Amino acid sequence: MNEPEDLPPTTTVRITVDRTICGSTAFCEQVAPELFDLSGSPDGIPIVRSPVITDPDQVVLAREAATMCPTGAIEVTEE
Amino acid sequence: MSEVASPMRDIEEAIGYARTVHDAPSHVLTSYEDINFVLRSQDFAPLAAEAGHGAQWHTLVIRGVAADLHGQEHFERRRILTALLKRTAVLKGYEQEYLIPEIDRLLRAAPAVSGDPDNVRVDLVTELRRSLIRLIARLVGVDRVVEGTKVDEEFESLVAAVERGVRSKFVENQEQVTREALNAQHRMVEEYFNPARKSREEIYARIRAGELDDDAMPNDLLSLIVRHQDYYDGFGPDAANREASLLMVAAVGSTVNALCFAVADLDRWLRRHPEDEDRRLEPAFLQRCFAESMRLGQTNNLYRTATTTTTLPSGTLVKDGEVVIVNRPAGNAELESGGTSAIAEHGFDPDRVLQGKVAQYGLGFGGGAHMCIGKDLAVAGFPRLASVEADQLGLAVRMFRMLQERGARVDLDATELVEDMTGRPTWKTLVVECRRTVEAKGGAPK
Repeated sequence: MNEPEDLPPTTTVRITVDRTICGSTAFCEQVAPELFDLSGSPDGIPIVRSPVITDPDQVVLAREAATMCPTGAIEVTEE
Repeated sequence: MSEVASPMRDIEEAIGYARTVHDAPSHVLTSYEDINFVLRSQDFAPLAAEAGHGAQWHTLVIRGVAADLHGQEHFERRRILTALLKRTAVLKGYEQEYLIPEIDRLLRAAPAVSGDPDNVRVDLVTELRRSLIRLIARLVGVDRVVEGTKVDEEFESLVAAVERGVRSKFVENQEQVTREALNAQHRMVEEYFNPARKSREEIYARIRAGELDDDAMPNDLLSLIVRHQDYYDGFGPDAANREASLLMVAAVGSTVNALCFAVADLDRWLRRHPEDEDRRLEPAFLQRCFAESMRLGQTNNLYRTATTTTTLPSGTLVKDGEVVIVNRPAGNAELESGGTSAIAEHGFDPDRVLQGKVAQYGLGFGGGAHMCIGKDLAVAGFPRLASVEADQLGLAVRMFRMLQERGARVDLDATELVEDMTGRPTWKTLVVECRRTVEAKGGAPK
């Protein structure tokens, strides 16, 4: 499995959130509100707005959100 | 060993502390559901002077550092620091370049035992602390310590003084302890940080002038601070220096104690379960061991202040300004009940599966937005990674594995566990016998 920060900057990636370990810190939404939504979430687990992304800037943000997540709940994998 | 921690320990003392210092009603939380709610909530801030309960001495030592911030300020600081503390950035080449030489240095100086020059005795508390100071000094960028040919005892004493200052709220003579910590911080900055920072400022000026590439800057905290100088200046003239001194202190003390717990817990487990000897070097097994030790060993209470009136899941009403005391041992113990543990006993079990959506370290790294920022560096992607190779382990678990590779066995007659000034069980002595090198085969030292 690739670590998020090991991925090349321009690629197609899939974003997933492990609901079992998410700590609801909202760091992901603060880093990338266009990718993660907690305000519309019923249980404090972020909704991934676009699970598959290709835009290089968004990929960078997704990777940063994964790195910042204190519980390591966000996974960014190459498609 | 870890069982010395009692879930209900120190509650009365903690209440007394909170009432005395803060003069505010307080609630002790023992249910995991309430604890989890509070740690996740943005409506509970770290206990700090700005929460409205008057100045405390220890805030003089920590004000303006990441752990002292809340809400958006905390997020922004954490975003900056995360760039440094990414495990893959820090550990790339780290094992071969720094970790192995440091462990070799530690064992080279240790006295031989049993007539075998390859078998040695080491007090892990003392020696791991010195090793961690050198390793974390590299992360902070303290060139004088990193480049020194021997352990810098003067710097070690400064780290200890600042460490006491961070915890001064738990002692009677807060003023004296804080003054000593502030003096130590001042000397740390003048004699150790400033020369290193000056060299980085010069490099950064040349980068901005186009004379050097960006990667000419070392990958350390002092470089990060130089790059974000204007930002840090917004928190006062010494906030950046306090951040650097606090990273030294927090990363060293807690890691040494966690490693000692892990070594001691696994040693005892293997004495009871010799069938697990074959798993002793398995990265995933060692990760679970370390996480289980974190859950059981990090037993100090956490404190939060309500920033608005809130009702907890249990129905408890916490009014704005009131203090909640998170009883970590109680919360962690509750996670065990009803679990699918391989053995039906309380305490260390590397195969334990906790209840609900909880990682095996439970509350060992805290929780919510203030979860330990060094967690990834210490234990890597655990528990997200389903399988793990040795080179994917975090710094602390790698050191733990290195000791296992050298057959570390605890001398049961040479261990002492005491309570530190916060009431947390802390290793004063933990002597192990092990081999100097990995190459020598033949099992544990005789």
